[in-house]
Amino acid sequence: MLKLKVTYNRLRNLFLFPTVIWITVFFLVPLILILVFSFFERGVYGGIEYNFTTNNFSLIFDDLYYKTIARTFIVSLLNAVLCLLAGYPLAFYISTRSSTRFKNALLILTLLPFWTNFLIRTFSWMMILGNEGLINSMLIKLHLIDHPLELLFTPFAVQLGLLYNYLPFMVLPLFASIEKIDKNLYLASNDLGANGFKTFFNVTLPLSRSGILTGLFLVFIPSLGEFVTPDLLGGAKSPMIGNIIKDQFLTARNWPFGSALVFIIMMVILFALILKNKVFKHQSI
Amino acid sequence: MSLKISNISKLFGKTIACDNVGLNINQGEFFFILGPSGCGKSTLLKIIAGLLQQDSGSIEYEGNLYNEIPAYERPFNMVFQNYSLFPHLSVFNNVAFGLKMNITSKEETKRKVEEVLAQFQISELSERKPEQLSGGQQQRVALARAIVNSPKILLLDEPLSALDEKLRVEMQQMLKELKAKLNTTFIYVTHNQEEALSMGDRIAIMNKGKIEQVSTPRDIYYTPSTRFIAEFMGEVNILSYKVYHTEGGISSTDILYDENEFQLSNPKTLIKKEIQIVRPENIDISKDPLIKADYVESKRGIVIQKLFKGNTTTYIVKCDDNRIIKATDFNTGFVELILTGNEVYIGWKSTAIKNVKA
Amino acid sequence: MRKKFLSIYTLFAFAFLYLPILVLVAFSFNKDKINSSWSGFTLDWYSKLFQNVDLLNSFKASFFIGISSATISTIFGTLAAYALYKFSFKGKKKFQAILNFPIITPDIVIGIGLLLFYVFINFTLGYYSILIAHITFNVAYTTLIISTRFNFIDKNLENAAIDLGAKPFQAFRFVVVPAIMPGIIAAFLIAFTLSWDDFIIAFFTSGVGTTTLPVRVYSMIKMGVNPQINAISTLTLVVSLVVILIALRFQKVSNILNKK
Repeated sequence: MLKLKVTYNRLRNLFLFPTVIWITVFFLVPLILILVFSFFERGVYGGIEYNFTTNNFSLIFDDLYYKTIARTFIVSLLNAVLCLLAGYPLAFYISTRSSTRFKNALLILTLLPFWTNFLIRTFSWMMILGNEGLINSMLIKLHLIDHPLELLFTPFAVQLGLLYNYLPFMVLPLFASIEKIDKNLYLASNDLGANGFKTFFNVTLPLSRSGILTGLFLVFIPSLGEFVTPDLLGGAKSPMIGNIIKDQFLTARNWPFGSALVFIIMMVILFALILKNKVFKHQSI
Repeated sequence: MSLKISNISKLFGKTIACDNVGLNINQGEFFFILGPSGCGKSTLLKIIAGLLQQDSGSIEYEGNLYNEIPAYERPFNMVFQNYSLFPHLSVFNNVAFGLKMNITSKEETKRKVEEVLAQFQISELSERKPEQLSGGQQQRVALARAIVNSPKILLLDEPLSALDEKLRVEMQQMLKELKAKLNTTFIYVTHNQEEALSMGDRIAIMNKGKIEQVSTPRDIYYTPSTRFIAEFMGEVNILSYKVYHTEGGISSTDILYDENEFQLSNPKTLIKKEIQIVRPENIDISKDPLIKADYVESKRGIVIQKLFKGNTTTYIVKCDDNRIIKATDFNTGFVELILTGNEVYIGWKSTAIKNVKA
Repeated sequence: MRKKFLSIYTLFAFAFLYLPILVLVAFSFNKDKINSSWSGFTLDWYSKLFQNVDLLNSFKASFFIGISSATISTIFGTLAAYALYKFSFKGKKKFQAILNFPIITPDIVIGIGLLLFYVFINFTLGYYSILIAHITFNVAYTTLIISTRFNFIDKNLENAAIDLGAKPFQAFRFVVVPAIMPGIIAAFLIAFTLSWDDFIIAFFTSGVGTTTLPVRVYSMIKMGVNPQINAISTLTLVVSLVVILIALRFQKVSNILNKK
């Protein structure tokens, strides 16, 4: 009896080994390193002095950096909310089509633009929003304005770019959870006297809760680490934490400080996850 | 005696699936393991097959100990409840699977597979995939896949439970014919007592992990050894409840007529508890008074409910002494129609009364 | 009334989604470098593209890193998903949760973390530093995707195979793998896409020698408007479209073959 159990255990360990080792060494250890490095000092020539200090964390509360962190948080949250508002009707529309073929076609159409690289998509927006870009040249040609509108390199452009790039992360989980709702519930609701609006607010919305939650998280969390969109569409004007981190590692060469900032992002995410688990006990992403 | 199961116990966490189970099954028997859902019968079957390891106990076949022998080396094959046909393989390759695993030549494989497909009348389905087959067809493929390997024991895990009534009866007939041709032992697990009664040579009743009785269908039905078995195999009328106990050397029997009272009765010197039962089909019912001498007991009552079941009708009668008795009769057309609300006379013979351990 | 609103909204939503794409494609054929005006159709940018050695090298790098990381992470993920499916053990749920962490961790955290790691162990940044990084996040996705697939297969398939005489490895190879094949293919495709598309992680973990396509495109964008970028994105789009269409056709054909 014991022989087989031992064989099973060995086999299980063997199969799990590669994945577990990989994630431990190349994911968990680096996370620990981030934490560790954030307590060190920047060396004179940009290296690392292995002296313990909490300077990096106190620096964060400096006006300049603190503002950026706050802005990152707000922009990310706003992005999640905007994606939800923009994405829900779309997900709902696709889900309520009667032909499966049409549904699949719509889904593919929604995802197709995201098969291009996101840098390239963001670049496109530069071409559309720029002073000599599509919108401005059209408006000028139509004599609606004299000078080009400042659309690019504004917080508006950054928020727009983020919305554009993160929309599918919201639409897909929303669609999945709306799809799962038993269609008979709509019939029952109508039968009991509720009109379209009431049915939507009392049946559809609550039952798509898990999709909404998943979508919000899938948008909010990665948004925190963004730096390409604010870099390309915001210029130097509205940096997010990601931009500062990039600078610290590449230009300013203050790796410990950069690590501390990364660590802050990690903490915000952890906090958000714990909050989610406390409030929505049985939801799983 | 070819398959000897001794003291098999199996736990899943804290749940006891099999509790010291022992069975002796003869070669060539059509053996049934019958019990309600969750009684552990499927677990026992998988242990026999070698797909699950028992926590204690042994499996012996033809005198050899099989405990350490893995499932793929045992000369037993199983037909699974949901057929578990390999979805990516054609019917032919599904059936050929066991032969291929045992390194049979291509010609030999082809011959054997075609033979068994013909036997089950599914030759024309040879190239189809399982998803294109109906439930009944999948069933036959599952059987063919097991039989083609000429196993010494065929294990069947509720194979007909997913089929509708007509198909089930058809397949039961087919299984009986198949069994008659082979010398294979069939061990059939089910919760359907009709299947067990009509097809089995012997039946083992299993309840909560324990074997309660092993006997022929007739014995199990007519002389059930426990109350559970009596009520599981068919309908019963409980005439009385008996509690046997001793008081200073003198044995006495309390006779009760209430279920709750019976459950609560637990004298310190309890010897045993019994119920006295009569099955509805053994109760005669008529609109005219019955001849008292023919029956050990007879009563008058009113029909409060009538259940038409096609070939039989069950009458629920509230007797003059306020007891409820069920009586079942065949709808032969010769008996005068008894309707709800009618006054009736019911009676039973002494031979119909059984005392069963409770 | 509400229905009309929904349809109109959807139309606008799709217009919004496709505007940048159309602009992109259109201006890949525009003679004028500055994209405010249309000055004529040209394939110049495409030909320049194919002469751009740096760009072609980046394409090759991204492709090979994509295929390699997808293959390795799919193999690891299949084994891990199988182990999780078959065996139950204490702390399995927590274990699975940890395996999912890389999925919800922002790229910048993974990228910086690995950069620190490589520097810490004195590992030269280059092709392999990117490959290792890509396998790291891909293996979390492949494990998850294939694990999900396991939920949809008959629990007794493996038992049936073993009962019929297959040794455990034979059962795995001849029955389990074919049953989860759609999951394996999906995992591979997603892993490849994630690797191909990755910018942030490659940005922090690449050395001087190797530049993946997204990193190359980023530096091109930083240097100014260059319609070659439009050209390469149009090509990527067309290739994706073709691949999807082929995949759909293939599915339809295999459905027909099955029903025969």
